[in-house]
Amino acid sequence: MRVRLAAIEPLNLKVFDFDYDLTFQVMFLSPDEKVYSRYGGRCEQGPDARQSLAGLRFTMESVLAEHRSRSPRFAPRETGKPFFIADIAPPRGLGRCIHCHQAKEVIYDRMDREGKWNLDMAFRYPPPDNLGFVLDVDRSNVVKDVDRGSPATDAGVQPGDQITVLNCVPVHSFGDAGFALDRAPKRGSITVSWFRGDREMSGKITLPDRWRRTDISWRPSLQGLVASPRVFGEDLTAQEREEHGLTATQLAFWQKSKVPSQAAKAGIRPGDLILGFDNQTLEMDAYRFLLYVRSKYVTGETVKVNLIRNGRRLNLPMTLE
Amino acid sequence: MLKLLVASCVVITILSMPPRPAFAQRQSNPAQDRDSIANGWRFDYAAAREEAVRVKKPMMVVMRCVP
Repeated sequence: MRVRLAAIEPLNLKVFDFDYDLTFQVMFLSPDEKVYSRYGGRCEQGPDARQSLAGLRFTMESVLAEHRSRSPRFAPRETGKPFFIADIAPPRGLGRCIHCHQAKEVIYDRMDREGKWNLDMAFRYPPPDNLGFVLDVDRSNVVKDVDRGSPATDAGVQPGDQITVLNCVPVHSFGDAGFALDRAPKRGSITVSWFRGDREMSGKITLPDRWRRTDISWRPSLQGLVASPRVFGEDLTAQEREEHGLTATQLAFWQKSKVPSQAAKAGIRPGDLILGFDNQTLEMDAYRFLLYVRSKYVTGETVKVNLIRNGRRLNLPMTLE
Repeated sequence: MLKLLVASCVVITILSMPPRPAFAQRQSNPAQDRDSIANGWRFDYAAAREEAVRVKKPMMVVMRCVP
């Protein structure tokens, strides 16, 4: 039964619970609104980076096999009184016509007004890449790559494995993996099960510190949280690097004469030799540092700006606005 | 005077139109909608769900935001 919808107002969001920062999403449901699978999802690489027609077909076949099985499995779901987007007053600037991708803005606005918003909510639906494994776009729940030394490697996952369950959520697609990880805790571990050939295997993935952190700069609902370093200038020359005992490729630039207010409040001055944030040696130039900060930090966070001034190393706290 | 009358009629007509739900995202191509329906797509979730219950088939619900 194929249904095409373009409005989110009539939908019970306890059933249609997915990453709303999307241009395309498929929900596979039983007639009594149990969720077999979610297909869809994107990342900073673009709206089509994680989906393909072959991948959609693969997921459809996987869902049909699940539907026909003796004991079909379903994703966990909130029950109780239905929840509609119309139950929340939209924030200023949004009228009654609410796009799917604006649903989050409405929900977050309510949470903010109720004092329930926190920065962790910016990092919803983290991709499995954050734990060291990448799913194949065309074979939606098959592992394409595993990072060496990652939590996925430690759990025993290998390329070619077909993930079946992640954090107690059946996985047919990247969308399911993102939903599973959205429910995972900040720390601790989650279980993962997979088929390797016809052998069923399982393991535990330990969640590292800040594992949910992902580039949010592409998310329309979170544009207000995209951070900027507000420090910028000319990269050091090779000779200047040598004089200051710096490597040829590490981040090092002279803060230019105009210092934005965010940096000025932190005490940064023109001519400061900026080395980065939080004592990390970053292999990049000043421009890429802008992109790096966008992908790693959100507004409201305080960082330590590492710099050299008149031969002295300083670490100045700065709040990202 | 006539221009003022015409302009007033236009304004009154626009103001009296009822607010429409979020069909702004819907394809504005009726021919394409007809093709979709002919190919078995439904656009009414509640009706589709009733039919899914009757025929005992799962639903594939596609949501797209047309940019």
